[in-house]
Amino acid sequence: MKMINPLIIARILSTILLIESLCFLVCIPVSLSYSEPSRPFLLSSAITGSLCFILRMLSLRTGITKISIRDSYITVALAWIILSLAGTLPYILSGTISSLNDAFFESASGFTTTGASVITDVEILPFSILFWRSFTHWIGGIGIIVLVIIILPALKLTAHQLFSLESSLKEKIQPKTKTVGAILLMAYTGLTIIQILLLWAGDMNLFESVCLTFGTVATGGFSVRNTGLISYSPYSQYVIAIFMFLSGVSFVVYYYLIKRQFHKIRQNNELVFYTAVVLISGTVISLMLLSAGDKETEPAFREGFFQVISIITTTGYTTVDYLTWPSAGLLIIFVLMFAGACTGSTTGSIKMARHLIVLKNIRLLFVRLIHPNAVIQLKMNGRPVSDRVNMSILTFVLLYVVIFLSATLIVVLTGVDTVTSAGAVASTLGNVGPGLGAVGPMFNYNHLPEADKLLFSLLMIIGRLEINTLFIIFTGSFRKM
Amino acid sequence: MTNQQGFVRVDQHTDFCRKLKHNTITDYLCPQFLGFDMRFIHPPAIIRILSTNLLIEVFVFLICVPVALVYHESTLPFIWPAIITLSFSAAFFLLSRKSSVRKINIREGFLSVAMSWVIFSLFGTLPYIFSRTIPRFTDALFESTSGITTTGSTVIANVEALPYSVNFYRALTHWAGGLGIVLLVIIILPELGISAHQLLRRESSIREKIVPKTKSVGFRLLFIYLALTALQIILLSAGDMNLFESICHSFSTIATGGFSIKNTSMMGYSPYSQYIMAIFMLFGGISFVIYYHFIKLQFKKIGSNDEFWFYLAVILLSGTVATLILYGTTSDPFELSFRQGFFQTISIITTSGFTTTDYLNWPHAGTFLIFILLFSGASTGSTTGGIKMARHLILIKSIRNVFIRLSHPSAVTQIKLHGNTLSEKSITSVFSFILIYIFLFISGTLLITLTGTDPVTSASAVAASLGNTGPGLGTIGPMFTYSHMTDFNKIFFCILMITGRLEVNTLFILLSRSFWKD
Repeated sequence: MKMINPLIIARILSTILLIESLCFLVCIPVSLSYSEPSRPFLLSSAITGSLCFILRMLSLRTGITKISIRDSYITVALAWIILSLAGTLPYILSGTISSLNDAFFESASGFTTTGASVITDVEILPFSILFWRSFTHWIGGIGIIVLVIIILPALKLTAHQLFSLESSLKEKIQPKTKTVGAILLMAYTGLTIIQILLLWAGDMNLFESVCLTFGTVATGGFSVRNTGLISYSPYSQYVIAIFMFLSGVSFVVYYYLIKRQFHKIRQNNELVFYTAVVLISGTVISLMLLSAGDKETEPAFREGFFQVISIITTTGYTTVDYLTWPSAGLLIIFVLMFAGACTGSTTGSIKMARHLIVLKNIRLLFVRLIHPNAVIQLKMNGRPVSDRVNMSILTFVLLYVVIFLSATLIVVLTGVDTVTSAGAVASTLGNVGPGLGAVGPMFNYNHLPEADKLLFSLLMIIGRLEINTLFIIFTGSFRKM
Repeated sequence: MTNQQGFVRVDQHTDFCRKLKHNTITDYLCPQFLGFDMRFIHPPAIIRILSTNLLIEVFVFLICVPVALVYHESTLPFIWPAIITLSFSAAFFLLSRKSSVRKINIREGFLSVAMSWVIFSLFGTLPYIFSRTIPRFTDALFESTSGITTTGSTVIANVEALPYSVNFYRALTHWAGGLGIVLLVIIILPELGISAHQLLRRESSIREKIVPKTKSVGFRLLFIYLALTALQIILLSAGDMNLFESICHSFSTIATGGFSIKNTSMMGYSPYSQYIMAIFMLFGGISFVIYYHFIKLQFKKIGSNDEFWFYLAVILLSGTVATLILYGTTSDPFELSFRQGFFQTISIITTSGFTTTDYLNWPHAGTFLIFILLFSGASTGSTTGGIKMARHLILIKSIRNVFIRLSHPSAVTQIKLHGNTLSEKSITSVFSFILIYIFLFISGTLLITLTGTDPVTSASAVAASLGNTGPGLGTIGPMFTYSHMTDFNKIFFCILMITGRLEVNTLFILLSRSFWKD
């Protein structure tokens, strides 16, 4: 392969900036209707628009069709960084977040659908800024679905070949990417609209419904209140819990649902496994809360399941300060930060398909030990998993653990206590949001050292890029490619 | 000799096995398990092995009698257990008189290896109970298991009040356990086809040597083990330790155990003794295969042993980091930071558990480093526990490999260890091992937390027991004991210690359905 072609990258980035500058414009009606200044968004849009124009002018003559694998890797990684960087403009121009580092954290947290915040008091923010925060989640969510389901399989990233396993989908995707994209977008907006209507019917006003829905469908977690969802009615909490669960389901499943191919859904091991994990861990926590004594059955059940679903789907909404739970519950929450829901959803972290493959590997190991000569094939969704894919998934899981440990070590070295560090790293790398200790659900990341915030912003992007994409750029073999 | 999976074709070894008799220790420990017969479990064969096992334990008890005599202590706590154990051994022998150990199959192999550790730990409680030093059975079982598995965690708050003979017995259980581990890992487990141990059989040269002359290899390993112990005893008694202290601590060091005869572990000893201990812990973490090559003057083999160099590099790196953390945050002189940093990291990496300082007083970063190192373990083929360096090395190589494949999708890459290519199957089994280890750690921690222990103590206690290290963090830190834990937790930790010692897989196999079903 040849050298990196900066022009192609510039061309794609210019398109991304164009989308972002349009997104800024969406916030202007919101600011007008609440009679807030619309200047921050107009200015942001103008700056982004002109940047887009410059990049487009530079790369006018480049054909986008000839993009190499290398260029795509760089583009995908740069896209998230550029998106997050430009996303800081409204925060800075409106004066809500003055430091660039904090604004970058907030913006990266929005686009990567993490939901970790550095804003101590979100209730005093202008409505338009609150809308922008939640809107970044929603845009990020679309980006993830398109990236994971359409772009990454095309790049042949082995860790993502879970999708190429689904060869039927692949067959469909390659000839008509546009149709698939349209159907996915339909499922995404469909979910959003239904949830807005359901929430609006409860005790939320339209603005809250829209913002929280954006946060839910993208499994983000930005709230418009300081205390998360504690103050809302049980009805709203149930609706949000159900939609968090639905957003954790792979969008490929919705694709089949719309196409009425129900037998494909039945074959999906990951969906069954995901549901089982949610049920088991939700029940364990509920029982634990019940046995702790001071709660009725319904609140304990709601509290347990809401938190479990929220953490597994890496959303990060909370209806209770789980730091006050018994320590076993806390530990389960921490472990679940590594769970993640289905591949092909907007959730982060390790994800169910990988956990399932790890479990299958472990079982296979024992069968092989007892029957050394048995030839057994690992299967997923009814199809055999090749050794190479299997190996790259196992490596992914272990690499995830390695990154978690080394990042925690770095944060601890800056003087943060161990529990907070581990919680914050697990939470940002998995795009969850709240952590443990001093970054628990009732706190924010504002008090952490500046260097740590930058590290967390990077971890969010690393987690979002499914780790490999960003790391590959730094490997020697990539430069020699 | 081996098929494509790296498993030894067993039928070709049966002739060799038939020639073996089962009179000596080495014979008992040598690969008679090779007559793989996948039919059913034959209890007399297992009972026969356990009987030999108990006989060895009788010798362990009897060795303590002279010590008791020298210090004018009661010899009864050792004579009674010896008599009881001997009668059990005799009963077992009579029960299994007609069975032949030669025809043992793979399942019986697994079962007897696991049972051996359990039986050893169970009967090992007798001296504690008879001497009334640990009157409660659960506590005695914990202490005995911790000794045999070379873990080194204790329930005795004041070890200095113990009779000399009991202290000697504690150290001796380490030493006997350590010897058992070396022979188990280097000779028995590879023959059982535990693929994680194929790391060793990949060393084709030692394999070629081991198979035709198991006895001589066994004796050489025994000789190395004895020589290292003797050397350390001499060096330690030249310092500020008396002979008794030197012997006990040497036993614990070479087995990477960690029982000390002082309440404050190594804190009260001179820097000289601490340096000697650190160096010999380092030696204890080196694979005995390396010493074997060393005796045979095959330096080229040592040079090509990746794990050995990786082990040294990890020690150097983490020791330096710990030293810098200590030197940077405290006002201690450099020598003290250096000594403490390296002693502690070596002690934890080799899963010994000796301490020269209370690392709970270290800065957060230092404590966290200690916690991570609880998972490291030293070389395969040594007496250490934990995940072990070879597996970490394979993991790192695989991660690098994945990136190479990502950039060059069609590249054919292979992972090499000690210059030999590893099959995908071996790599997968190494990965599965690490993941099972993490899985066990997480679920164990969850269970302990559910009993009401705080998460930090639970997590470190599980990591320290599973890795056979000993001290942890929180309320089981280096200056505390496990005595305040509930009985349930103690028994659970005993199981974890044995699980860790059996390299995790063995116990799981026994619990799996496919083991009991054909």
